[in-house]
Amino acid sequence: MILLFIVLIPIIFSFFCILPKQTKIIQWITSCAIILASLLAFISCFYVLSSGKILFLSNIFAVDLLSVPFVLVIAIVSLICSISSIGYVNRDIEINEMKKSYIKPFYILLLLFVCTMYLSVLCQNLGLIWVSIEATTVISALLVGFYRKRASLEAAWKYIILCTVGIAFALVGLILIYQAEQISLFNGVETLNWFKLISYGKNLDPNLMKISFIFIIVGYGTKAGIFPMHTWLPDAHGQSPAPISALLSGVLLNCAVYAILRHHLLLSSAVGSNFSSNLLVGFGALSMIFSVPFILTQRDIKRLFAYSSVEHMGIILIGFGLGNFFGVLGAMLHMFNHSIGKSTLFLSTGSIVKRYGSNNIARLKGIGQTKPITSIIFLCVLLAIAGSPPFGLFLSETYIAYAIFQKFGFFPGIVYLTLIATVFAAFMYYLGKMYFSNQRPDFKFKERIGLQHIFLSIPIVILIITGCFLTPSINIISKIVEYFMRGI
Amino acid sequence: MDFLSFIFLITSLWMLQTRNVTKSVYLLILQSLSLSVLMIGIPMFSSGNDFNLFHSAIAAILTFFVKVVFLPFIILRVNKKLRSNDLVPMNMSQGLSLLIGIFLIGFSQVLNSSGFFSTSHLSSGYSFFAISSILIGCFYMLSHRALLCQIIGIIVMENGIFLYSVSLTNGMPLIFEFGTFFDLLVGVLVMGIMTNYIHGLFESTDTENLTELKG
Repeated sequence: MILLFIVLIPIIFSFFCILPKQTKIIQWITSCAIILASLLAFISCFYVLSSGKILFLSNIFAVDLLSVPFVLVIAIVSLICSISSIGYVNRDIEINEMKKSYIKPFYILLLLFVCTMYLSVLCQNLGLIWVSIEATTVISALLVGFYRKRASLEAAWKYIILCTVGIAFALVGLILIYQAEQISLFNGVETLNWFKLISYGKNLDPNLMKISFIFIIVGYGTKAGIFPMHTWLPDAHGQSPAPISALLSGVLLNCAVYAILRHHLLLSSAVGSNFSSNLLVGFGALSMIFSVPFILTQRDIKRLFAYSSVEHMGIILIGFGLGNFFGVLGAMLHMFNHSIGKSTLFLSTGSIVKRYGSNNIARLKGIGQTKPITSIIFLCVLLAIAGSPPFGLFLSETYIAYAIFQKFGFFPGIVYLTLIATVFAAFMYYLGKMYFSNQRPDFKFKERIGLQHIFLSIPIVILIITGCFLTPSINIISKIVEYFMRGI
Repeated sequence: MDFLSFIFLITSLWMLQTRNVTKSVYLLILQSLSLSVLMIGIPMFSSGNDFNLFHSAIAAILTFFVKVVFLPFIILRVNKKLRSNDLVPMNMSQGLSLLIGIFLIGFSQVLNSSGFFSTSHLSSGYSFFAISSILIGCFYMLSHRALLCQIIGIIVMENGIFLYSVSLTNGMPLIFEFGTFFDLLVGVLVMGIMTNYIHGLFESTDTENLTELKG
């Protein structure tokens, strides 16, 4: 029942947002809905960690150990984004970037967006996962183009068209899985139920399953921003309001990765893990390699972080594709850390960019003097995303590097480390340009500490904790990793 | 059934050489209408005693209302609102577009009949028409440069995918079919709204204008 409420609360509260006219009440309703849904999500995760899994409504809704990190990420990031969005929306109204009449649709869409993301990780029926992920596209496209400027509408259009076409390929993959299910069951009751499918995985037609996975990885890979299907990602992340960029990068990409992982486990049970693992590592490596030149030559700060998301998705896929303990552990931690870090980075960047009125890195000079408090948060999360210690991403990247050396040997490991080091160097260069340069003389501004700064500091604390205190020996983490590894 | 499949394929091919949105929508209506009959006809003739009339009838009715009634209505309404009676700009000549369409049909036949994927479960009597329609839908989006044509292209692709699903599996689970139709309906509605916004800002629906974001 709790799972149904996690999905229903944002929908019900979005109806409550229709009536009131005052901005504050709408923001208050939205925050309450997200807090409640997050609270229920935390409770369900703790319950799953202690008891194994929750099933509801003829197994349509289910949370198992694989869903836990994804549900946790949605709960934490949506909480941070919804509360931080209050400040952003108010500022947008002040500087006439957003009309007052847009507030209501913005928050209604935000709630529905969060609801669809929850739905995509709470369902275990492969068909419903597809439906939910397609629903995230439809709703978030309106949010991407929310400013209704030329660039934002262009980004939104490309986003909806590319993702709809991409995900149509995943639909073909699903049809093939369903056919495999029908053949193996000799026309019994078929449902695309993941638990059922995995239980008789060995009976599924191996060729059909392999072909279906190719369609699945192309389809969901488009949504996850994997190279070469990533082209919508920099545009959409660059043009949407900061809280939406944070949600897109921090959560939405993970939802697609979640779908890919479910299919990866299914294929592993049908034909062994080699085929899908190789595809995951291959696409992951391509994403890492081809994002680096764009990171090195980028001028727009939000696009820079979008390309960084492509790189990080590559790292995560490589980790899961490796399939050994440290690979999976690294990928799980990396996914969690990246989501927390990247969403905070987009939120702090949004605040800085609004002050300067430009996304151009060359124009963002002296941010440490102009916005001293926000820029410290920005500095910390940028270091975290670049993979610097003591933050969690350093640890997860190191685990994956160790796993690559273990499985593929010296040369691939060195290539991986070189790519990571190059991205780190590029980020330090950009940071130096923005943080340690002199402020423009006409640009005097003093910043007061506010509630949003405290909220944005929480992820930094989480990243330090995951970097310093999370070890593989912690029971909860090893439990999740072993659950995944049992499937491959 | 063969005649309907033929209509299904010919309509998508005809669309390739049409430069008028309204005409394309009428062809889409014809294609969707043939699909809705095929949704009930194919399972009826292929599954024998296992035929589930309720399931197939619901899928056919949904196809009819969503793809024959609502989606064309939305596109025609947006087109009327934009008052755009101009010919759709194309990336190539109509003849070349038609020629590539015929080539795609040939390619689908090769894919369908050659056991390309080394499994016999990938093709059935109707999957050739479905694969052709998916490829032609994709190509239609590339060859025609209007926003509304991209929406039509997506629906043609989806029609092909639905025909593929019914030809291989006699229809997907109902809850999933409801979900996909709902997504498609809302998706086209959102695309229609965006087309309006884009036309308002760019004063055109030519996709050539949407090239500002690069790098």
